[in-house]
Amino acid sequence: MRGGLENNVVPTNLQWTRLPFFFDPAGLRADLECIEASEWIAHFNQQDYEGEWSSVALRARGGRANDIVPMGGVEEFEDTPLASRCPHLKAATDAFELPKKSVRLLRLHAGSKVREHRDRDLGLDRGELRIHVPVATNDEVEFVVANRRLVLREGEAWYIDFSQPHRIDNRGTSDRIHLVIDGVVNDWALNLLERGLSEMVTETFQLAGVESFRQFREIVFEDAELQGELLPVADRAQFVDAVVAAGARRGYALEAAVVESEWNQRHREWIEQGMRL
Amino acid sequence: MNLRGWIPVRIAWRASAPRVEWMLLGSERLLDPFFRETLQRQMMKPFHQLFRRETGLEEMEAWTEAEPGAPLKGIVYHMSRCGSTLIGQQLGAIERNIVASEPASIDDVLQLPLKHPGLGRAEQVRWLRAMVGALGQRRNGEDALYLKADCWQVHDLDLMREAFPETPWIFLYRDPVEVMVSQMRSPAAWTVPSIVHPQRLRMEMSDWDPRELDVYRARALAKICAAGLRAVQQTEGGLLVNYNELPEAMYDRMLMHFDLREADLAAMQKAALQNAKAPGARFTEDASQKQATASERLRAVVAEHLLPVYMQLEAERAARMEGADTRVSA
Repeated sequence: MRGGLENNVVPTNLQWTRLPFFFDPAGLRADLECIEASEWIAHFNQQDYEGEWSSVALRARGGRANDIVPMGGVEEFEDTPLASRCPHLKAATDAFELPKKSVRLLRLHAGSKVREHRDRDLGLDRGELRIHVPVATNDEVEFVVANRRLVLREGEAWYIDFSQPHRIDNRGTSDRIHLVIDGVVNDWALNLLERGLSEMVTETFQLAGVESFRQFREIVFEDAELQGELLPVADRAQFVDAVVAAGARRGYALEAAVVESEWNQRHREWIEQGMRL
Repeated sequence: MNLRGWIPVRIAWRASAPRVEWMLLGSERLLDPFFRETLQRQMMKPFHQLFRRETGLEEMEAWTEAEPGAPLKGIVYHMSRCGSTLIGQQLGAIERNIVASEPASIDDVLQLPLKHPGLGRAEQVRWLRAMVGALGQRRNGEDALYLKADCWQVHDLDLMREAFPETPWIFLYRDPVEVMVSQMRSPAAWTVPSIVHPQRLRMEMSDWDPRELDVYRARALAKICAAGLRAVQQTEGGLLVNYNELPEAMYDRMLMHFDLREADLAAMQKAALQNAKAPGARFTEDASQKQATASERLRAVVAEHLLPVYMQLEAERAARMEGADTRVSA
């Protein structure tokens, strides 16, 4: 169980790894047809997204398919009626031999985005892990964790530490639907992570926007005119817009999401390094 | 590298190497009673989160050589709660002065060896010179820098002298009953070991007992006073000043010591009318009121730990003033 973490090869701060599973994408997709449009529930965390972000549960507290809140003790969770209607999703879930809490489909509709945030209640050090199995996705989904772009393909399985800053932007024309399994860390799960680390290649990608932002930042550092323009902006959202606009005038195509993410990161560093009072 | 308008705010640790963090202050003068207050106010602006700079020591040295800061013309050491903030505000009231009041960046340099035991003294002196040089950047054409130290930094006076042998300094102290009453009412952050390591106070971790914080505080203050006394006896450039000589001592003894001018008196006198830690409120002499509220326990703790060194400081100051008078009349 948790104690195993200390002498295991799996670091508690493991950022992400692909897992040694592959599920038939056609089967997973076929199950989606069994879910009525009316069964999808708008996600409870309405502050963090723009557009449509909805969910339905295959396993939930009290077995209620419309209870998409993943919190609670492991013993409270039961399969919902939906689980028996979706055999491929059920089989994919059962492939993970660890005590399961919530099992949901999370659906980010075309053109919608989830702003950068951290799920602080998740993490290996808390004895919990979250597995993602993409069921439907598209090439225009930008999924960014700790400033790296992760490309998750249909049928793959991933462990990702979501206590890291992450954001999703579905810029495509189809919905992104992931099977999201929350489980309790056990020896089987640790062994799975270990195998993922040793057997799988987990590729992540540099964001083009990060590099252009960093170049632009060097310009700001030595340009009194830009400093004079940006320093007085007191509102954070207006400030991000002002930075993007100033970048555009100097030939840097900056993305607001990248600027925001850099801001969050530097702000965190400022707090974490601590000011002596 | 052009760091015009940028001021070092602290040392951050990246991959176990010290890096200087800089914030854009432009032409904003450091007029708050404490450097950190200026920073905190500034940090409300989104700009400072996104656009802080980071350099190593070498870049800071190169910058201060290319653009030398205003010379360090005085350091205020003190035992806390004894008028040092008032002196800082008076010095800052003079437009050609920069006053850095307890800046974290200097304390970060002084405590480098705690985090970085391999750091040699020569390298620490380089850090100190560069950091002071960068803090003294003439952002408004100023021509003097004054540093108000954190109270425990009198323990690092030798290091400061090594970096700035010509800079005059004072050690300011006060009747310990009054200092302790003030510390009881509003305890300083340095009484918390996780904020200021006991080693910086020349104390041991085992000296810290949450049930007897007053004793910890009194012993730490006694060590600060003893260091101030020893420094004035053994080192050049020092002056002892008692709180009860303020603000008048600023207009004669300290005026010359800190290379100030007669013409500066009016600005300093105006600043002295303010409550130094709460600009806007008037400064009020509160010694008798603090004396009246001291408990029996507090007086006993002071008598045991602080009174002897306070008496020594008073004797030393009297002897020095007498000596000075003799020299003048001779």
